[in-house]
Amino acid sequence: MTSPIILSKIQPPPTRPDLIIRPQLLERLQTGISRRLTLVSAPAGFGKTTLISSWLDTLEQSKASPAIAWVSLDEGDNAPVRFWTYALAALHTVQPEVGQTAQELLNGSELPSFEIILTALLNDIQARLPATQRIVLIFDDYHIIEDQTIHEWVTFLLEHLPPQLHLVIISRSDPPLPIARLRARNQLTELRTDDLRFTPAEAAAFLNQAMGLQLSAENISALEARTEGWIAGLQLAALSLQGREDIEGFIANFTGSHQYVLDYLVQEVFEQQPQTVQRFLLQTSILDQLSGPLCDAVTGDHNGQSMLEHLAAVNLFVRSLDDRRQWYRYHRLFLDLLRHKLQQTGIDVDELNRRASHWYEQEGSTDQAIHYALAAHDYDHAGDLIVQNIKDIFIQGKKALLLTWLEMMPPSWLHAHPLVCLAYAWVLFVNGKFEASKQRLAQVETQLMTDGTEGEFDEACIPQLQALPHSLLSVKGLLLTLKGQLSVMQGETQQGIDYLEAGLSGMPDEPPGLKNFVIHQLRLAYWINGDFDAAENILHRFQTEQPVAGDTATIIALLNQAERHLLHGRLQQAAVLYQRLLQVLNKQEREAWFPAALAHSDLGVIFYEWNDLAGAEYHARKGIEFGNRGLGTVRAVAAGYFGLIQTLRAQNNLAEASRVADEMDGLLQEVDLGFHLPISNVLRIPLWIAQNDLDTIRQLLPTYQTAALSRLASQVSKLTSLVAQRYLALNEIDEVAVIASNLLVADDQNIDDHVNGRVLLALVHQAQGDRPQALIDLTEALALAEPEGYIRTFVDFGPPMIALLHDVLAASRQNGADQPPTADYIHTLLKTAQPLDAPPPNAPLLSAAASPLLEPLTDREMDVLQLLAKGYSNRKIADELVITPGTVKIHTSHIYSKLDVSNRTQAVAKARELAILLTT
Amino acid sequence: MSQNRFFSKTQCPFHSAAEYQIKVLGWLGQDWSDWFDGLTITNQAEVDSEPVTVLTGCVIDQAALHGILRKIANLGLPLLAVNRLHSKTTHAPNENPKA
Repeated sequence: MTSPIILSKIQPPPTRPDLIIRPQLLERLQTGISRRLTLVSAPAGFGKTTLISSWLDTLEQSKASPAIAWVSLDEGDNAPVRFWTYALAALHTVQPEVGQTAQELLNGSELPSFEIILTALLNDIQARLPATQRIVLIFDDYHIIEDQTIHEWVTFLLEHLPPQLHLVIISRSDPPLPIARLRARNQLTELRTDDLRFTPAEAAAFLNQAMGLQLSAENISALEARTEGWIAGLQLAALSLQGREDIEGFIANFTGSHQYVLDYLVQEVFEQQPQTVQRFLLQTSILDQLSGPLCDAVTGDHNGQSMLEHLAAVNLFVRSLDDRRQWYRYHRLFLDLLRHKLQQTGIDVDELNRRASHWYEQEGSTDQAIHYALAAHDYDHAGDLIVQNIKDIFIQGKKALLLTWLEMMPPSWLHAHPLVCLAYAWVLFVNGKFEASKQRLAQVETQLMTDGTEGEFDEACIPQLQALPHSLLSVKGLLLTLKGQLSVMQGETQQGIDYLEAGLSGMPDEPPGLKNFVIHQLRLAYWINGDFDAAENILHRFQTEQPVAGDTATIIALLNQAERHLLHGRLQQAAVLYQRLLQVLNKQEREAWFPAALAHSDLGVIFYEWNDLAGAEYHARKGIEFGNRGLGTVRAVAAGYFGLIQTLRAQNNLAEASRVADEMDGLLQEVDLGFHLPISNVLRIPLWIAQNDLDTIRQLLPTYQTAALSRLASQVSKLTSLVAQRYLALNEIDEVAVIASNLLVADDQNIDDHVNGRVLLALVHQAQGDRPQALIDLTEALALAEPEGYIRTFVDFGPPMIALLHDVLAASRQNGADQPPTADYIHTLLKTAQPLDAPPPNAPLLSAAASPLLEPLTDREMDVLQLLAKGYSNRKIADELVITPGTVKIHTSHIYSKLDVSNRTQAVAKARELAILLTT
Repeated sequence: MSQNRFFSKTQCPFHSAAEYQIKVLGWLGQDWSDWFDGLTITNQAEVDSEPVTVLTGCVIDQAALHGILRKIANLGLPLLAVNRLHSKTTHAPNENPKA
């Protein structure tokens, strides 16, 4: 299933015997073990890797040595699965049992969320290693990592690090991790450029002892000044001084020159080498890694191995990657200089790359073979290799790599290979590049269909078909599915439904994964289209046609019912079902699966309506977080933002609300869903009203119609009501009346439409001076709304609504009737609708801004703290929260560290003191 | 403030070609021009007599700009400044006085 581990990547690089020992740096590294992270961040050539490997050498000699897990990263590690596979393999070399569960999860056919994988790893470390043992996990060349998910999960690891584990990150630029936070909490040791540059004493020792020169103090300080202690510069200077007679002359020229240090010195050193060495350096500079046989293949000579050993021995540009003198690589700093030189020589670089590609192909290293074939501009061969191996590429999850390759292929090749293009469209789609995917798909279609007749494939494609991975076998089904999803995403829902239905009918039962996926997409499409019976129906069809695991069916059924209740304004029932759904997901350890995102986001909307702002914020943020991780959850993300922006506005935190709205725009644009932007602007309407920014509201582009397209966001009537607020603010009463009557003509089962419609109508009548009718409308709305606990729909309209509510209250006192709306209910509404300058009644007890803690507790940690306060044991907390006792231990240790206490009694006392416990 | 978000990507200055000027510390030969996507290379001494190389030329988009910056980092060249001179598609305001 997975590609083999390259051992040299998880071995610390060997150190050289003539190393300069740097005691003060070693001491800082040693004391740093007690903190969470050591960051070694400096440009190339400052001896970062050398320093850490020399530290490891001293550790090996000392007695209570921590165990070392080393990972040398390369470009290929930008795939999360591969990154963690290597991290686990490195830990495995330390303690064979550690990380076994996590490894099994990673290798499994269905990849769970990384939260589950990493939690398994952390639990393992906690459970299997004595508290006194230390493991140092080192990531070298971390700057190569660009994949945002990897950064997120490294951050997760850092935030949940058990005391046994220490992280070292070696990087040429500061990684996008919470460095400032760790620094503020004294959990970070940093070694930066200024710490790493050679001191004059170290420069002297290096030049005269390690490099065997006999330079005067004056010459040494001249070199040290010119290179500013940059080790690579000093090393090159030493190399060009070795065996030179006119030392004074060289140093005078070098220090007098304005030329870039490295350019100058590499030129000097290079020219001192014999012709054969110069030639070897240039020809092999195309390679990222070097071995004797590979170099021979590229140069056509037979001296590769001895040449590499020689270069490494004299420390000339090359460094060894393993103890067995098998693999080497050029020091990154010289690589570009050599490649630049090669470019100017007139050597046939394409031919060199072609030879490298051929060698790797013989060795069975497909990725490398494709890489060098592309570098050689040999597209036909690269294409052949891609087609031959596409199954493995998919199985091994190298989709990002496939994208990089296909982006380099010329259009003519892609044109001749429509099925690879289909795979291309699929990968683009999965990566959220919907527009590009759509274009590819259109291309595939014209290529695949003979003379345009629908559904017929060119016979000539069949051999290509055989090579495709299993899940792509139903080409027609897949094509239609992709088209359908793209249409739905872009608002052409009916069209999308047609495609998806057609795709589903042509889809084979095997493999079930793809078919289930299409079924869900289709259901979502019906839902978006407002055809709820069809959405439910598809589930029945799906259950009878193909029985699936009971759990999944339960989840989808719950989700469907809950969504339907919510849509009709049956908030109570919807909330109960969503909470049950979350429990089921929790039990199955699928907390982060897309139904959870939908459940959280919709609970956020419900809690907002109930004016439980703390609950609304919690669920909305969860919904956004989970929704961001998966496909098909645009609705969850949009609903999450709906809840969050409204909540922040209700808390009178307009700046944050507006920042969050910007964040939503950015997110939608990132995934090519810019056409949903009107939603976020509709969500901004109350913000502008609160800021009395009527000009912006007047210029606002989206109309009722554009907002209506956004069923994706949440309940249509709620968005519509926001649009109506816009018209109210501008005093355009007729428009409000139109919106109200549109809501009221709809399905009369729909509480939500009717509550919103009646409320608007009441405001219209009041504005028109028809107060009695306004009271009738409002009373009707209140009667419908009371059993479901509606609050914000009323109070968000502010003073005019307050006045009306007082009148309804007075009228109900006269009538003395005890059917809804009750006086109690209206009192609650009035209490909530206080003027904005008073603090909101249900302000959250713990918000990030108000927290007196340096780092606020996470939601989960709050949950644990609540139960600690009730005196629960770890076991009982674990049962209550449906997590393992090991995870509870991780949480409690974080709670202690954040509260700066050492046991649970102190933690609870401190929490009371800080007033962060929720009163229940 | 918020109207801009409806503008299409093509109107956004960050996605179109522009002339850039990049300054690094230390002199580089003209022969480096090819390596840096054809940017013109000039050496100049700054006021405080630090040797400075100026790379100037048209960069097609932000991705290309970051590619060049990455090459600079790979060579260990200290980066002093990155300036956008003017975009290729529109005129700078001072070149286009009001009619």
